[in-house]
Amino acid sequence: MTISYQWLCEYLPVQPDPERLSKILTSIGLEVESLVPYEEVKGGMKGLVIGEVLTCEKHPNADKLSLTTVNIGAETPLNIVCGAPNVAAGQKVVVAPVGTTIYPFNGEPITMKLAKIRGSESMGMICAQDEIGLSEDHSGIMILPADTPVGTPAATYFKLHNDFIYEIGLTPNRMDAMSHWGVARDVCAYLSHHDKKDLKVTLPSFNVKTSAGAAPIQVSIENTNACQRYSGITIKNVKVGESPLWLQQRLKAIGQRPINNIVDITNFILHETGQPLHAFEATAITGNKVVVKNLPAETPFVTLDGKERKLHQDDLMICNGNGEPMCIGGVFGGQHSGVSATTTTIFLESAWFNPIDIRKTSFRHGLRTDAATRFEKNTDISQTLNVLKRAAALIIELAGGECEGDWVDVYPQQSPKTQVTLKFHFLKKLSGKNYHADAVKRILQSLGFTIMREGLDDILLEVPYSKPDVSLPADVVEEIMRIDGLDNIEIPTTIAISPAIEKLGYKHTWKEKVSNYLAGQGFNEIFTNSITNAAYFEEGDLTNAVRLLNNLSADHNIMRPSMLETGLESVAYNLNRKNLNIRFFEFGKTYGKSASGNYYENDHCCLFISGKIVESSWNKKQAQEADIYYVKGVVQSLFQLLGIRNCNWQAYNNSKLQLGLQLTQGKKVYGTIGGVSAAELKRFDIKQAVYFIDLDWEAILDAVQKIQLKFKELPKQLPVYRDLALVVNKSLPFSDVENSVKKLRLDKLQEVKLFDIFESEKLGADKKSMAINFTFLDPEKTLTDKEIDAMMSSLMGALEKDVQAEIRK
Amino acid sequence: MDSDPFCIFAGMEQLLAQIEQLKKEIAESAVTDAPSLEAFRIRFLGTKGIVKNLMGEMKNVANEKKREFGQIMNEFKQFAESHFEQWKEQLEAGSAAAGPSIDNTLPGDNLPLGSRHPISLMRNHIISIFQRLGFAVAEGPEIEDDFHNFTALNLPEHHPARDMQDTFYIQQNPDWLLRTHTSNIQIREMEKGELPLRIICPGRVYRNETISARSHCFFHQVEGLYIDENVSFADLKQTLYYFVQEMYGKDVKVRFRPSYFPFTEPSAEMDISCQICGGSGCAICKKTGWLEILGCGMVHPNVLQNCGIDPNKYTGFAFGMGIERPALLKYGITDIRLFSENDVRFLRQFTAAT
Repeated sequence: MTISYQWLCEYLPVQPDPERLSKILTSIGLEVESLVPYEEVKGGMKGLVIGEVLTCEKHPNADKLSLTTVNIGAETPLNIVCGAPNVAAGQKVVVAPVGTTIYPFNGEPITMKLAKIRGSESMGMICAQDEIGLSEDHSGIMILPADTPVGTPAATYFKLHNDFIYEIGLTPNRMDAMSHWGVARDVCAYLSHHDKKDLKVTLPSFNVKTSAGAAPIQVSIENTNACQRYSGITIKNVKVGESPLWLQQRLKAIGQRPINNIVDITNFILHETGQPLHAFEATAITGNKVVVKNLPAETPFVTLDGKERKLHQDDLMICNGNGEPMCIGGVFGGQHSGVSATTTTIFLESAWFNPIDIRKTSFRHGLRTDAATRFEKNTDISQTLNVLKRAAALIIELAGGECEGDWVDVYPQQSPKTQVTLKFHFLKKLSGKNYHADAVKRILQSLGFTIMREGLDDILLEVPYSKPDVSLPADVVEEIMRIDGLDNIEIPTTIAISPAIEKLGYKHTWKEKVSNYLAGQGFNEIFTNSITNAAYFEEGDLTNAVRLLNNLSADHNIMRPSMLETGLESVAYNLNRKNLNIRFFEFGKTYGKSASGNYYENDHCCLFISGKIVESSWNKKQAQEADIYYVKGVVQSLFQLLGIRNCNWQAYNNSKLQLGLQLTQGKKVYGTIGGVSAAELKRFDIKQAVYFIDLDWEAILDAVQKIQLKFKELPKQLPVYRDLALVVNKSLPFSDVENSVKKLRLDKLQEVKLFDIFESEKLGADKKSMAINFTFLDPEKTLTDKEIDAMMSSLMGALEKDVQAEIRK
Repeated sequence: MDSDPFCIFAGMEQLLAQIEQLKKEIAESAVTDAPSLEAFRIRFLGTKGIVKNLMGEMKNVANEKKREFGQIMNEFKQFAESHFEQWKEQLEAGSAAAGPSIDNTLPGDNLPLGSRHPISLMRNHIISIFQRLGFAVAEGPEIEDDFHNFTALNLPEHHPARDMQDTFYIQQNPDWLLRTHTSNIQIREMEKGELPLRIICPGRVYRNETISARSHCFFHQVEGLYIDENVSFADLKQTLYYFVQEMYGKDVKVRFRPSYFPFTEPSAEMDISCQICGGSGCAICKKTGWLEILGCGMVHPNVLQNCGIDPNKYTGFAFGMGIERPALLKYGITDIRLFSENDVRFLRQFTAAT
């Protein structure tokens, strides 16, 4: 909302300077987002003066130029070369002497310098309207009335309006401050409280006479819920024309374009009082009757902007006696009922419309007009008639005419005033400050509250109609606190709290542990958008997907059902920027809707690996590229870090993963790993291998919560190592060897390490050799050679039998 | 052998004088390399060395002097040995440090080093401050129903304040949406009815806003809530003042401005003195000298009632802040999109951040 300093000051009994006013406004909850000086004309015509052309002769060296001498009230006249066709001796003109800067209507500012034009010296310029920013007119120099005093500053002559403009971030609860009056009332409350005197808003006085007899245009309200009060007046013999300068200046200062006196007055009143008005061409009101009602759905209506709109049955319409719509009540006028240049009789409306209905209609038709945004916040129902009178008085003053008939004021059921009891101890309890009862009363009264009754610890208040949002004691407390100032509540020196039991802390501890570990291992933590693109997925993958009804854009239309795609976006983003070695991790969520219709969110910990793990350097000639074994190693280490043991890898493949494995423990699945499939990489235009680890963070948290770390006695014995070399079929997966060993359940066998694999011609084309190291330990006693040999031979036996291994001696 | 002056035992005094002489010789020896060290070892500590020889004199010592002789000899032996060990260590250390084959000016290995995301760091920092004040962490769903995101928060349908938040809807009748703030966690926690309540709630939120340098369709918030008997606005100010002092230093100035949130009454915004210009006015603070960092207020009685809490008995405060904005400020980042583009060159800059 825009507030003019000069305009506001008209209603203030004392005028704080613009800076102080800015601080006051912010401190009472009318946040000043900007305070800027306003100049009606850029540069404020600084240095420009009124002069008189003393002599005017043709330039000896140019056909279109004149040599003039101009008196600007200085000791000697100025010699000025002028190119305007209309310059003549005896004219009063606007002069820009050397040294002044002019701000043309179009184009950059120009500073006047002593110039030689075709051999003649020019000590300034005689100005046209466009040259000093007044208008676009460049038909010739401006010629002022003959009686204009020479030497008058142009700014004084043109009565230029200078001002300060506040842009206020008005919160939706402050319908009371949607106008200059409203803001002035709040400022007065502040000044009254802080300066300890009773200051009241000075309202303009006006007097308007109505003629005897019934109003020529009558009003009836059919929907008294949507329109609870409707005041109107008919004014005849008005003359539509330009508004006087002061009114134009007021409106221009707050960014409104003057149109004609009637429209300008309704705009002015809107910004003065907060009450939107509507002026009808009276002859358009067929049947001399205004009917406020709803029309059937789909009724066509052409609005002021020339668009035909189809009405909704809940749009409240202002209709004529034939029931034809003239205006969307409180939102937008119609094409045929507005005031035009030829209007002589108007009907002026000042009404109260239901905020919710206004809001719905306004959104339905995309008409967020000044009127609608005020009505939807709830205007002051008690003021419709007063404001109408103020507007009528201004119209008669500025556009002539007189009222015809009496005021119309249809107000079927007077709205009751809200009453609130404020207990002083509640005020203290909520605010933490002991306010003096007198201060409380002064604040509330200056805001328009009426004190109905005073008790020992409480006061009964009647809330002004201008504050429909106040209905609870807490609302009243807010009014007192904001006028007194939130910064005036002292901060206690000691802190008293009821501490809470940490319930989710463990989740964060684990997340932090894993995150910091991964960061230490070279992984960068990433955050990707959980809103993603449905086109990344096959239709079949989207059966449970959560789709946005109002997309931001076609490529942001679903909640991600998987973490892979948004991560790949980031991988691709980096590869395109020559960041070729990627190690990322992200803690994030996926989303879906279950068959039973419930939405679910799952927590994941995901890793993305691509490019080199170790770069080559002077002492490591070979760079190490990421491969599935590194990826497996990362997961193995992570699970050691988490303390989750006895997990198994199982083959797992889908269309997006190759070499896929699933990490399981019994029926539990902790996650999947694999290389991203070629098709998927192509979708993101990625040309190097990317590995993906997707861990079910909820399953992991569930498991770690159940683990209790216990110290184990250190073994008294030392471990014994034995190696074994097996020749097996080339296609034999290592997991078969592992399973064969595991099946024996040798409790003294601590560890099985594969330390070499090789193939050779000697072994045969379809064979390979695996070298395995076994670690044996009995914590209690020394293992004898005999015992170890026995275990080794059972291992060999099992391997020979299970995987047809040939043991190499 | 006979020419060796130390082979013949010539009485205790003489022995002592001999040993002193030898000690002096040892102390003055210049053992600088392996050969001279070996020569020393052979001369003094070898199987036919001086120490051994002198020890052999024991048989010539009178019984009553044997003990004294033994002590003197032991001490001498230790003296020689300790010098030997010392020189040996020096030589070994010297050869390791200045060995001709190892160039210790070559660059060290590149060990992998990753980074935490600045939003994680900022979230953790904020949470840790409030944890010190006895707040517990609570979380809630991002996909939320209309009641928990709006209605329970005193934002009925068609309330103009719903305009303040452009909402992504995912279902209509009944309405489901992406939460526009973390305030839904407040409601879900209050509904549990365990009072007093003192929680800090981090999370991701969504707004249907065009993605630009200044706004994104998803971002992160932290929200706090304290409900007990006799909680006042002064308590709120105190908690938040403590927070900003921890966050921005002791000298930070704060300002509370009345504001409006449907779920608090009274409501306020807290500003801190601009961390960029120190309060004199700059582009970051829009020349006001103040930075808006969080919204807060006393929990609205309607909200308490909506969650089954008696507003006559309990009062409470709530506050909420974005995580991106303080992170932008702290690190001088000018484009919010950097947080989700995940450019490695951006992420690596936070390796050293805490």
